[in-house]
Amino acid sequence: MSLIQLVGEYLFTQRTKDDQRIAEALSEQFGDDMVYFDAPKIYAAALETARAEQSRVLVLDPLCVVQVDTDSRMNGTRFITAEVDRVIREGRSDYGFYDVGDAGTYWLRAALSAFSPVDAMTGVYAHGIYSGGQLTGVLVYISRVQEIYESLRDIQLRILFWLVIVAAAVMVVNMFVLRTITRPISELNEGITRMSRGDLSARVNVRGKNEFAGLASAFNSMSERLEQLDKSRNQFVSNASHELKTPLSTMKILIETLLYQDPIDPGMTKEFLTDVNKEIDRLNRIVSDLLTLVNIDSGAMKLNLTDLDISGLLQEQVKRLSPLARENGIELECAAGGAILVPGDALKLQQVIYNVIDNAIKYTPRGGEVHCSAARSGRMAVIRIADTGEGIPEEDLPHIFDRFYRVDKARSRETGGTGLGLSIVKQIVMSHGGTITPESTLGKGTTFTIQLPLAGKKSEE
Amino acid sequence: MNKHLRLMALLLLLAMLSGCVPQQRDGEAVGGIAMPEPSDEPENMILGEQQPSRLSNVSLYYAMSDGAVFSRVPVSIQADAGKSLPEAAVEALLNPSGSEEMYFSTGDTHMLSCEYACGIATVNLSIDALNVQSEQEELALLTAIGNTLLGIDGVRGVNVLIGGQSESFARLPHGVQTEVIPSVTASYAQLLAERDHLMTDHAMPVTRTATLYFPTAVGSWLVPELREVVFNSDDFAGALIEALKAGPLEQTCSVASIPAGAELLDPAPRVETLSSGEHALTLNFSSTLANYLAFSGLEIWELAGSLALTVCSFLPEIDAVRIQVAGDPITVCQIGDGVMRFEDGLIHRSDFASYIGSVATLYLADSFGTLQPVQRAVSTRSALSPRNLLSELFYYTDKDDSQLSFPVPENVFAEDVLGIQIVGNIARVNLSANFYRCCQALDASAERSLVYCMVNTLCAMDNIRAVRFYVEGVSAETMAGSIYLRSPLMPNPGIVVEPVAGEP
Repeated sequence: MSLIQLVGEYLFTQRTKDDQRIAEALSEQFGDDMVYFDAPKIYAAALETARAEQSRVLVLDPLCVVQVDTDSRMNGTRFITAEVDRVIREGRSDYGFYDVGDAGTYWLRAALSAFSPVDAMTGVYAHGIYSGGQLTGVLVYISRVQEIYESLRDIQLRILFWLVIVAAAVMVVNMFVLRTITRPISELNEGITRMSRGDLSARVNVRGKNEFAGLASAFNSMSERLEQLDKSRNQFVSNASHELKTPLSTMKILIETLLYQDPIDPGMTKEFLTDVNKEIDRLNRIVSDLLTLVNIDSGAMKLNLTDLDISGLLQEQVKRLSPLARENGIELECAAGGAILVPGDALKLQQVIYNVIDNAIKYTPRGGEVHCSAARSGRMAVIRIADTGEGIPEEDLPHIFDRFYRVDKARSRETGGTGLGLSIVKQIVMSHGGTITPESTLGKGTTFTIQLPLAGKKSEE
Repeated sequence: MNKHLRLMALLLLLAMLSGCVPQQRDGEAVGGIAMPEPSDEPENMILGEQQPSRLSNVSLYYAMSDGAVFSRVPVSIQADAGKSLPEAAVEALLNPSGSEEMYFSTGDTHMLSCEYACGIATVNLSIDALNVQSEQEELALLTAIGNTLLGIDGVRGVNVLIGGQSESFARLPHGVQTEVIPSVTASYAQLLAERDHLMTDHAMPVTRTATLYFPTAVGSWLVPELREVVFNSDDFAGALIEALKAGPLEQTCSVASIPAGAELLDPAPRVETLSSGEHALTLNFSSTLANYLAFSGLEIWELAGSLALTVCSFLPEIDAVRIQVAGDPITVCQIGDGVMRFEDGLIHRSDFASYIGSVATLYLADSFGTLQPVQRAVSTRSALSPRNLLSELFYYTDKDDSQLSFPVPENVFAEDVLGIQIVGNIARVNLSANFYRCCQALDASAERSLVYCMVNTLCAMDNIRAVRFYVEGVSAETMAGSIYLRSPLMPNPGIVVEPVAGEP
């Protein structure tokens, strides 16, 4: 049963009870009057009630002939409804609702609906008039209930209106929830699934600025980083394989040449074995460097920190590499002043400075210069190593610290480099809390600036 | 799938909340229900007028224990044809076997006549009624008659004369009794007090109900009307004449008999005792009355009859009146083709008793389909005859241009009412086949007007409450398709519109 029907039943039941009470009182009053055909008396009482209650009263005889009509329109005619019939045949009072047509015809209503309006909803209550236990007539009490019907219809339309509004609101909220919560989660889930299947290119659309957008952005960053790492790893493996394979191939050729040599030329054999030995050294350096990097990456590298004089360390390395510079026809200068103490591992920082100066010498043509300096700047110790070499192309500059990255692939190997030196340098500097920055101008040279935090006041003194 | 289910659930909820679910009770056309039908009746060819003697329940009042109280004895009285119920009731009350209930003896008192018109019963007792022991016993007798008749439907006033004269009590006119008096002792004590007040210091006026008789505008009748008259002195005649001058107030079919400008030249009318022992009242009017008679169309007999009946019915112990206009006595008058002569100018009540008429109410239709009551003066006998009343409907002519009519079809006449029979309080009206045939062309409104003109007119009679129609003695379904005729029809008071003031 619908809500409207419940409300309607309540209102109509109240009206039915009121009508029933009035009709029963009149019926009781008219019992003897019907026997004596006292129409004026019946009419007067019925009219008084009808006027007071704004209703209409019909008094029928047992043959359904209207004997009294407070509207005086149906006298003498016969009137019957299901309710009147029930009183006459079963002696039972009954109530019904009708829509009264223009011609005064009564039609029973089928339903209370907002879509089939009723012009004159009317309640009809039929009650028997008895005298001495005999049915002497039927009282038909007709009350207009259009106002109740109109109220219900109004409520019905209001409920429909609000239901439409609520439904629309629910749909909007649903769409909002779908868009802001469900869909991002679903997309994120899809991205994670793709990633779990190995597709590291999976990305999620980032909408808005809420938490889901942050999550999606973080996911994208993570996947981007993973993809980059994956690429780096692949590149690294590829590079490492290549770097390891090159000396092996060289050694294989040399050894096969020796094997198939007939007769054996001792001089050539010695030369070839010397070359094999060099390749083994190179392999050894590569493996050592790789081990160093692995050691750094895995966090296993332990720094033996002491306050050391980085200026002295620089001078020491310049001094160590001076023979090599002279051999290459390069002027190596050092402009380090007083002691500059930094907390650091002496061996590791020595390796850093050695590698950078060694690189500068190797990539500076004969007659060039390499200038080294150490100074304080604020709370940092600044070491500059500048050469007058060919310089590094701008596009290569961001990659020079990548493992096995070479600006000039052929020349690097010629110089005996492993391609891991600058990577190790950067990792060591970073592990000391410092930075290394390259600046280069093609054709003019390159300057590496290493900044390390100075030691505390106590150690400085 | 889930979405579809949710959508369906939402739609169902919408439908349930909005009440668009059909109720259990389907549409049911009213026309499909069979009407109850009456049982078959034998043919009942009613011809003429049949008013079989009928039994009526009446309470007879007898004065008990010095008239302090009355005992009520309910009896069934059989009113024979031609006799009114009040007449039969007084006979029953004065019946020697019944009158023994009175605490005093009424002797040979019997009723000489009983006029019943317009709800007023005027009972004329034999002179034996004066043989009682005291004035209070006489009052008790008259009150017993008044109480008894006032219990009958339609009786509004009772005037009792003895030997044709009105009686006085405590030297005051008795007048017409209009209410049941429970105790004569108390009533008589009040009379004495009223007399003392009126006769000694005139401090308190006395009110009595008198029967005034007025001539009718149509027909040769004098119809009675009750009127409360206030007396400030013992000039009862003067007060009565003033009441007559005011003209009729209740009846619209009657007119004033004395113009307002007519004055009594003798301010204190003389009561003369004649050699015969009769008492005569002389009324000498100014010449204004002569002018009024000349120009109003009122006839002298109507003036004489109105005065004689009114004065003799009220003023105590007056047998006759003498009427003079500017000193010129009225000794002769013409009634229709006849001439009435008054010896010595003495005009008795009995001279005009046969001209007392009654008023019948006819219901006629106007152009709006409503009915209006129209009063017609008729003889007292006709007022008791339903057939005569229906004839009055047929013969009604719209003399007052009031646009009222009895909407009977052409070629239908009073003779087409073949007969009327009163059974219980139902009038059975037998119509001719011609009447029925001519009515078939009537529309619903005209049919209703025609039927209820007859029903309301007949039910205006005291003894008729409903009307049943037959056609040639056989029960017919409807008159012309709308009004059902197989059931007695009660009057329709709601269709009646009272005429506005100033219209007939």
